[in-house]
Amino acid sequence: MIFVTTDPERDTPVALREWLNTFGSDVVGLTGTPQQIGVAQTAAGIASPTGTAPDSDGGYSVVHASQAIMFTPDDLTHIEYPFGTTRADWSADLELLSTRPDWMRA
Amino acid sequence: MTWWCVSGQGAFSWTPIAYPGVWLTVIAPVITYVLALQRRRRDPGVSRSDRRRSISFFAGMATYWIATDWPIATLGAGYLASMHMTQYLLYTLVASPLILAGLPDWMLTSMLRTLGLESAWRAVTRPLVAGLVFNGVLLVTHVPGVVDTFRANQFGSMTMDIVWLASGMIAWAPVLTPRLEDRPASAAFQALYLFLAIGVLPMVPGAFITFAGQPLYRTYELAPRVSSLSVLDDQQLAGALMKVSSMFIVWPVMAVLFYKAAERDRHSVTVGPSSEPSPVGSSASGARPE
Repeated sequence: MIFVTTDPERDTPVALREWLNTFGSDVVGLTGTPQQIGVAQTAAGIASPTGTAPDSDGGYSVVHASQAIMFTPDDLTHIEYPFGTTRADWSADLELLSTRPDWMRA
Repeated sequence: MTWWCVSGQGAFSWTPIAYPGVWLTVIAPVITYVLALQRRRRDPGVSRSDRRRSISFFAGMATYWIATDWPIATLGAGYLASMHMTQYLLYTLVASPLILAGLPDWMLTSMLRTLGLESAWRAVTRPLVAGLVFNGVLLVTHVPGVVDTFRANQFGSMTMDIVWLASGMIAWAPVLTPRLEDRPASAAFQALYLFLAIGVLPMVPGAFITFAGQPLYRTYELAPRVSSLSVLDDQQLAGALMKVSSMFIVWPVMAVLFYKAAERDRHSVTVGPSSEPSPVGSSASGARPE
């Protein structure tokens, strides 16, 4: 699984790794310049994030896409999972997705 | 205004949250207890036993408050399975026995009669029934679908907390009820009951939670992370707490039961059968030897 940050300023590689470890050490975290991330978001068809104004402590929230986009062996995406999909759902679905002949590499 | 802890509240914050519903369930019983004691004290004097009971009651209510209010209940309702379990253990192993032991027999009897629950109470506090009720509640309220559903709304969350507290009181009744006629006479039997009902049986679901390979609770799996604890680590911690915590309470209580039984036996041998306390107590205040 690959996670792409929408807030590269705050999600430093170290902070990203630390946070992703709470989900699993095999989750890969990606970051880049805001421009690079913007290009990736456009390519994936994801809406741009919006940030709230900083509070008195300088803290702010980022409203961003939270779906997981599934890429199948044909390098295409046929399915997206919204926020709320559980690990048990992934486990059941991944087996099915990996065996669909029409989504295999040509 | 949120009046009870509930899941789905966004990222956890260390800024305290007020839960007026929780405060009400703390304040109302405390005021009722104090007023009832004051009314009672106008007649006879207050025995040491009554003061000990009061301390026990207030300690139990304080524990209930800590377990039901921010931050423990907030974390338990929506963020960490381990805090959910901590709440459960505080209710059933600390608050319930302290509150029950803090009720004078006349107060408990009066409450039960007022609510029309005296015969029901007597039925559910028989050791076998009490053990089944306690472990039944434990099982049902830790089923993933039940936790996810009840913790998602305030009424469900409150119901779960109250049911936990009530199940704890039922579980401890065969050992700690102030109504002596409801207690099994044998300390050995009481100890065996505690060991099996509260000590051993909870280990089974505890083991299941500890060794589950997947997150069981949607609520905690999807919650914003509070610490570096992963979802599975948090769940394993919750299971481990359920498995082992009860023994830290049950074993000392069993030891006290045996010690008191031995003391009573020694006293009856030393003084002789004519001075042996009667089954309903022999002190001036009518209090029973604890």
